[in-house]
Amino acid sequence: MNYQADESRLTLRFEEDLISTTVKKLLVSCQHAIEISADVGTVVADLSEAEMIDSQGLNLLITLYKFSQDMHKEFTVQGASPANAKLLAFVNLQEKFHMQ
Amino acid sequence: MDLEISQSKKRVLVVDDDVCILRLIETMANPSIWDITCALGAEDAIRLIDETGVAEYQAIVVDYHMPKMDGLDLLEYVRKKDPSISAIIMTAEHDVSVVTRALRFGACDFIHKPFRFQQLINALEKGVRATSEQRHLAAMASEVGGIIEIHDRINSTSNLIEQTRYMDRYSVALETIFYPIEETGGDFAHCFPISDERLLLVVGDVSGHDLTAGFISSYFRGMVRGMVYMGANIKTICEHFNNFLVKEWNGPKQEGMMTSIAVCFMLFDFKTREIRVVSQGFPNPWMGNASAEIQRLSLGTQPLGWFEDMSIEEQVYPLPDSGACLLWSDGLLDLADDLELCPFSLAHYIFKEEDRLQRDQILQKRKDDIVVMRISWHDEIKHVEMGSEWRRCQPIYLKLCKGADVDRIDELQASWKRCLGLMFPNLSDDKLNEITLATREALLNAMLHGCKNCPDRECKVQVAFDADTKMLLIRVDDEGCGYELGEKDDCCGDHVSLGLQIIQFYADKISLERNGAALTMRFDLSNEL
Repeated sequence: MNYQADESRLTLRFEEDLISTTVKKLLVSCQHAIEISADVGTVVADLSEAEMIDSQGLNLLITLYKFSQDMHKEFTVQGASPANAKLLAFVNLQEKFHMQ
Repeated sequence: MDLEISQSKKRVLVVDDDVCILRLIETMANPSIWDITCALGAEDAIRLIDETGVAEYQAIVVDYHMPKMDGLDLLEYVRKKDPSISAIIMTAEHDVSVVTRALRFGACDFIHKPFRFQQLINALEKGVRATSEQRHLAAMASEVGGIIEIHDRINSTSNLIEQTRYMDRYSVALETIFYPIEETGGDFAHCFPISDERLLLVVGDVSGHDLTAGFISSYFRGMVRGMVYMGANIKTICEHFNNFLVKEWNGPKQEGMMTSIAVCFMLFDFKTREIRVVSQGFPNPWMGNASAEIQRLSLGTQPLGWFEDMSIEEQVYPLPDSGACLLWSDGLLDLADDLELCPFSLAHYIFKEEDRLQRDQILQKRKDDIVVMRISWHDEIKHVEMGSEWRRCQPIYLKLCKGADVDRIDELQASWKRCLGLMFPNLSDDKLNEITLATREALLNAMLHGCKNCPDRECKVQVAFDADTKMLLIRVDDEGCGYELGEKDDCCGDHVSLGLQIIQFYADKISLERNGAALTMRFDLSNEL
């Protein structure tokens, strides 16, 4: 995962699948990135390179969403593949994540 | 036998809807030789046969063209009652399809109308003789247990399929494939239909790839054939051949390698609904059922030829209504290992008729002979009763892992994804990912919640495929006692219910057993393949 910040947005670019074997490490890195980007108003999870999201990957996104809210930031998801977008819609996360 | 025929009259049933033909035959036949019974049409013939039985007659003459029921339908009815009776078809047709159909139903001769009477008599003489011989052979076979070898035709690259019916209700398909690495060698696979109720499969591997191995292999097969013919059981056959190898073949020789034979016998008894297995040094046979459960049959012991005091154990398993068994030589296991594939998937791939070029390329990498035998059966009565829900599944993947293997989930996932990709190359990426993800969720549930991460608890991923309905069944079992929905995951929250939601989303149907300790997912691939 790498991240990029400008004045208003922090983009978390996931370069791997969001699955049980990657979520713990990703959670630490993402929370760290959000914490040090105190000035940005929006956190964007860019899933364009994530082929697969499992249940723990979904939990990671929800955890990041809640963490961002606690830090008074908006959380959005972009670049989800049609298959991943279908999964996020199935669990009613599309609206919550302001999916683009 | 011939004496018996010549001393008594030859009884023949003649069936025609033309009364003139019947009268003509009846009048012209010498009454001191022929006892002619006439039936006016198929219905009359069936009535006579039902009253007296087919065994009363030594031949049957049937007109092809009759109203209501034609001669071939009647012939099919008669041959079901007694397949040894000779039938002669009278026809004015010259249609090849009629001849083909007639041969399939067991007709032994044709008389084209109009015919000379002597032509009919000649055909009848031949038919009566054939019936008598067939009945004599059938009586002998039934006396000694009976054996007709139908699988003496294995060649290097062919996929032989035998479709047979047992007990009038079990439809059985047998496929054998043999890829040797040398011209001579000792691997073999044979099927001995012992009776209408029992079928014996023998698959073996003689050590070495030379003429000696070829000789021992042939000798063994001949001996099995002879001993089965004499009514010997599997255990006796093994003991006998072990003694031969130990005492006679290997015993006196002081130089060179000893010869041994790894062999597996499987006796399918469709009457008692049992499978009897004796495996001596051969890879274990496996059995899959319609619920996608895959079971190892027999623990196996040492090959024949090693020790004089070898224990030979027969194990008995219940025969499910529908199932499939696989037997393979270690050549298949070695190749599967080299290619990082599950042996079930590799075997299924090899049996597929399509992708022959790619299949041959893969098989070129083999380091040993490959013999695979696959038998599948299903109870057609149950099939009709259960309708579309009934499945004729082939086991195509099995992976065993421990509760503590959570960290290996990506490696395990790569394994089934690779195997599914090989077996179903037309599967879209999206569908493959959906199946993969649902299976991952099910296995994670099994490891984390069923097995509680315990290294001594086992989980199983079992996959079966029903080629008729194109339904893929994935079953994940664990040794736990199930779980409660809403159980919390220590890292990322409510994993079980979310995982189940994902499974439900992707699978066409799911079913749970043992409080969730066994989960079966069904994926309809009919739009994909």
